[in-house]
Amino acid sequence: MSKMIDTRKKQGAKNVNWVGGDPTPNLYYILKTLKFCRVNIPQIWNSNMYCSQETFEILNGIIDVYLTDFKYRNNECALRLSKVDNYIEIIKRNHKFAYENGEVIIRHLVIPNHIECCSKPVIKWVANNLSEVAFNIMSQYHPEYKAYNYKEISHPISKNKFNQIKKYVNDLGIQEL
Amino acid sequence: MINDRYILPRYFNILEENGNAKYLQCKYIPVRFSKTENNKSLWEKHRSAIENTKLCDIIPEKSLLDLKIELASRIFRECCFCERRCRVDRNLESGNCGVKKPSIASEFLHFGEENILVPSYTIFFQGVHFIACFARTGI
Repeated sequence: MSKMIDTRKKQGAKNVNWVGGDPTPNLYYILKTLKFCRVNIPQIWNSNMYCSQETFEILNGIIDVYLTDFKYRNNECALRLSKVDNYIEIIKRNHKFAYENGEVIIRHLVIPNHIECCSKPVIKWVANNLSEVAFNIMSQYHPEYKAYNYKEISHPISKNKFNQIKKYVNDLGIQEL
Repeated sequence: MINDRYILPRYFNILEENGNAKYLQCKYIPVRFSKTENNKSLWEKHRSAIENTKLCDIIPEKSLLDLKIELASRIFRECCFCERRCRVDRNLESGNCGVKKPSIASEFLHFGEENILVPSYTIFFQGVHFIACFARTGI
């Protein structure tokens, strides 16, 4: 893998983008790969940011850019749609950690009927806490997998609704990618 | 329009060879430790090395990267990489994420990421520790 990183850089790769699933369970393997790697290329941690504090301490000094996913703004939505506990506490802690120790690009996928409970509060929290990050607000939600079992998210986001969110981002002065 | 350089100055410095990726610097930070030391001692050395970063001119016998690998190997045996904290020995079994030993699903030059990132050498692993009910690629 370390040889592949060298080869891909020669082919024009700007960065190494560690993604999953999620890269978190694979950190040990990633570090062992980097031990044999010599090329000067930024390392990107492309993650849902549900990692432990121990993982983050290890990432500090390794990762140049955190490409994060900030989906929900309350634990009820996170538990209902992603079956995950304590989402907000963990995601806020890890975003602050990323912001203090690297450069950050936050992705937020706008989900229908989760604008008031998730999108707007996520955007507001980012504006208040992480002023100098790049923000990518994404419109490409499409119901997949088990989404049809959840009535409120069983259709794509309307253009009108998405534009409202774009305006909200711009009004708060967030740097949108 | 975003001022990319203002938000990601270090990233652009590395691209233009005006700075080094963090992982490379990590190899030049000397740390003295033994694999027989307990977790507490290794974590203290880790924090201390990060707070008082001193770079050598040559790669030292043991570096901060080596210490990170040792700490990660210990977590791997009692896994708490993610907040599910399954505590399984990943040499023997997988936790909630379904990942025992890492497996690369695919790797390629990705042109579909954010403009400032492409072409991006994207390495996809199998397995994830939580999955949205609307997920297409398992995240």
